[in-house]
Amino acid sequence: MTNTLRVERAIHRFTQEELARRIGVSRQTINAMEASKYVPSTALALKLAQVFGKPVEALFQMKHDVLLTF
Amino acid sequence: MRNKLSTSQLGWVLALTGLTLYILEQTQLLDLPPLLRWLPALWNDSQPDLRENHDLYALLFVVGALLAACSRERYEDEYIGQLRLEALLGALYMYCGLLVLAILLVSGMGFLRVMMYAMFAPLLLFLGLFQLSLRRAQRTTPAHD
Repeated sequence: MTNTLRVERAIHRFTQEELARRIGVSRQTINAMEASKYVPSTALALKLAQVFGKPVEALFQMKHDVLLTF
Repeated sequence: MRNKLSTSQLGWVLALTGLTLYILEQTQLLDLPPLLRWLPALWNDSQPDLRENHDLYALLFVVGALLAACSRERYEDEYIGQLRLEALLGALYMYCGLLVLAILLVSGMGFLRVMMYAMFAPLLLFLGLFQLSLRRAQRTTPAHD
């Protein structure tokens, strides 16, 4: 799973701290998601989509090789 | 109040107290009277009904380690929850590995000692692995971004 969280955060000029505060998680969680070390739950993905004003699939994408296995 | 002891800190204090008292007693630096004399055992078929202090130290350690490992972190969220679950699973795998090694390598009365430590190993491994993964998550998060 890849994501564009870091890019979106830069566009909206949010720090990790501010984004974490807006969706109610720790800064470590934001960092882990941006580094693709952690895939958030649906609820958290929807909160992120709401904050950035974009659909979830614009923020999170399956990797190409994973898609081919379906 | 900021300097109030958190549940996790209380757990660390209890666990370390139990561990320290146990080590001090084992090394004969401390000799306390039986502090759990008042607590009867439901099943005791080998000695007079007198509890030794290591029961108290074990209780302190188990309750303390459980509080330290399972109490909510300052910023508890789903990522921390996942780290906790991964640590629990990792601890189970490590415990089974160590147990297999002990079964293969130790026999006779020495295995009794292994069994004694095996009572506390899962909790200790869980606590250690969870703290490690928390520290790693904190270390890899840049101070300002």
